[in-house]
Amino acid sequence: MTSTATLHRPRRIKESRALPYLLIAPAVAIVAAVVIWPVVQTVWLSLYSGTIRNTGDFVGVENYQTLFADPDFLRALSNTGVFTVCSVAVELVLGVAVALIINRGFRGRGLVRAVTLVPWAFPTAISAIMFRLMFSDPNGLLSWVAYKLNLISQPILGSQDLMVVAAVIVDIWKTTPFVALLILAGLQTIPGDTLEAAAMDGAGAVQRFFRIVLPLLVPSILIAALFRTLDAYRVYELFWVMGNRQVDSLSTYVYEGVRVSQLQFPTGSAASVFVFITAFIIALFFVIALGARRNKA
Amino acid sequence: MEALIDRSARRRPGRTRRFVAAVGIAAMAATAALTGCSPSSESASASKTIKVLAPPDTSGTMQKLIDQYNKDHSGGTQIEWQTSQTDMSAYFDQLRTQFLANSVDADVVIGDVTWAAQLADSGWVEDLSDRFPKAEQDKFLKGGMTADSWKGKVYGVPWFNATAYLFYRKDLLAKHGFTAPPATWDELETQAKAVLASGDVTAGYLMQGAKYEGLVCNAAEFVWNAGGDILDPADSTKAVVNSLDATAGLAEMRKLVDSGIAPAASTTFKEQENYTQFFQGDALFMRNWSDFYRLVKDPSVSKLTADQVGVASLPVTKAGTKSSSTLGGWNLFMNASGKNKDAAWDVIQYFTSEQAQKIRAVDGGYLPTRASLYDDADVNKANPLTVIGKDAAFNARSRPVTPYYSDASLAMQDSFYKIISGAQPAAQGASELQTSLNKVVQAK
Repeated sequence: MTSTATLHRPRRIKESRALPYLLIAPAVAIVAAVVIWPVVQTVWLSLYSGTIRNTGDFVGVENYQTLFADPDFLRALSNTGVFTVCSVAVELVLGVAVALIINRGFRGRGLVRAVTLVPWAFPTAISAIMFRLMFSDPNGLLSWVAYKLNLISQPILGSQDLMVVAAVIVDIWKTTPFVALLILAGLQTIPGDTLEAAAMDGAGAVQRFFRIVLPLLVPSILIAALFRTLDAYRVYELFWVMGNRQVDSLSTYVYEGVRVSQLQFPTGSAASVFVFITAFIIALFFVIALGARRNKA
Repeated sequence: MEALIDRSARRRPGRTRRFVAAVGIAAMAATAALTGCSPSSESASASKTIKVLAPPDTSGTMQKLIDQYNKDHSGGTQIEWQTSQTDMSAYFDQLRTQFLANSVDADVVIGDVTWAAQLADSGWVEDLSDRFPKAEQDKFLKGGMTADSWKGKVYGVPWFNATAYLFYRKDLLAKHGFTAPPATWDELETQAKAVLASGDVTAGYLMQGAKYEGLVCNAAEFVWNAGGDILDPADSTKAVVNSLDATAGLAEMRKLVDSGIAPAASTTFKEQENYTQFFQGDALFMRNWSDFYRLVKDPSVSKLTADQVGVASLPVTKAGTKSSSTLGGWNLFMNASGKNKDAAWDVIQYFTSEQAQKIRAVDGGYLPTRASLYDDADVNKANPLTVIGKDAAFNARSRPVTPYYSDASLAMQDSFYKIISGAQPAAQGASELQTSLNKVVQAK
């Protein structure tokens, strides 16, 4: 019993109570220096009217009011929202499908698995340039096909809406392999005998998938969704490079404010605080969802 | 493995040699320092290094000039080239950050034509008014001097110019019975419609309409060539773009797209898409920079011959208006916190001298900033643009000069893009731009 131990050796215990804190102190100090301090600093900046050249005055939430009244910011927010929801949803569905396929035993499976990962291995900026060329008018392949199929009536790269759609397509192409990889790892932890037993009991393939495989995959799917949602939410290169600065995501909006402009620095700071808080809420949501599942199990 | 051992064994004597050399240099330096202390010698100017921060140069002429200077001044001031990023806006972002942190150690900074007011207003670059007298300034083309001046003082020296021209297909105009390139937009439309109808080309007019700095240049020309202006030339804190003239110019820009003379994809075009299509022979007219004229001789880019391509000043809205095009090009600035300002000024003078600019014009194809070079026979021979494009070079205008140019540019890109893409009528766009520009230039 610990209580008796406490009575017998009070001094040693007192030491060991301080010890954990001492041991953890360096880690806390590092986290405070590299994470908490910059966050506090940015929040602070977002409450001042300073630009890159002067410190400015305390203006309270005025920067946030300017921010939410700025149509460019609202557009960036809706672009990012649409992009995140659409790309993550499709990537999860396709990711599960791809994982199921490459989990089956067939000849050349190793090769197929490797090839599937190729799009993911491309640096985003490079694939963004590649697709920009394919979407360009009049020489782009994808643009030409879309015109022939009567899918579009105007240049893709000339329309904000079409560019968001294009960004979703590129992101799906690029990151589905990553989702598939995470889900494949989950698939491989599902014991074969469970599936065999279900088959013996007369469960069909569809039943086995929805009753056994999918429920057991939920933790993997949640983790994949967490990674992808946060990644998609802070999308930068794809919009900046492929959209050629013509279509804003939240991250490009922040960059334009704090780096390109000289006067919109405070609004940019406010926007970056907004991105931080909302991304934090998204992360929290997934962490709680994951925790809830684990507790149930 | 054996090769490794072998190589390290071979390296040893080299290392010893290097060590000996190092000791030797150190000893020499020590002697130099000692003699430097003696009152008889002329300060320590002997080993001054002037650092020049500039983007990479594909023509090779920058290195040639530096080598020449260093040879002529061996034992004296030497130039060291610090290469910056190639992308000018990335370079500028970085430069501003470094100036803020007081960590620019270059003595001379080479930068774009829109930077002077921004750098000057922040106190980062030296006022050159005393070193660079009016009489000397008058030898340079006017556009560059306007761009490098701020509040009556001059902060930079123009190094080379870039100016926009109307590139046209001589052969196609002749084939359809047109004897001269268009002087007005109406003439351009007539000629383009005739040639488009024949199917000889698919694009009548190519311009840079994507939402970026290039659009600002294109749209500014439409405004100027209709007789309007963006900021009041007498008062840079007042936007005047909401005028009938400026609106007429901007409406013309949209009309070219709307009528199909300029392709619908104009709103996605930058320089490269344009000259690719033009030099492949698929366009009648193109607005593009002087730099690209030399590509006509490059068979990997151009299917056309020099005889097929003409250049002219940009068309205007009403006959009789003086045609202007946007001034581009680079300038030399002096770091205000540099330590060797006299030597830095000497280097700036060297780079912008007639002799150095001639080398750049003849070997590198750059347009000089000194008026006299446009009458130089060697320059004219090597660079035909200095003859056929002389007017445009002399009439080139700087974009609005304001210390908040970055923000002004963002505002202009926004409004001009709305107009060219048809999202807003020209009048509404011009009126909204006037409001947003006023906020920027008055730093509200």
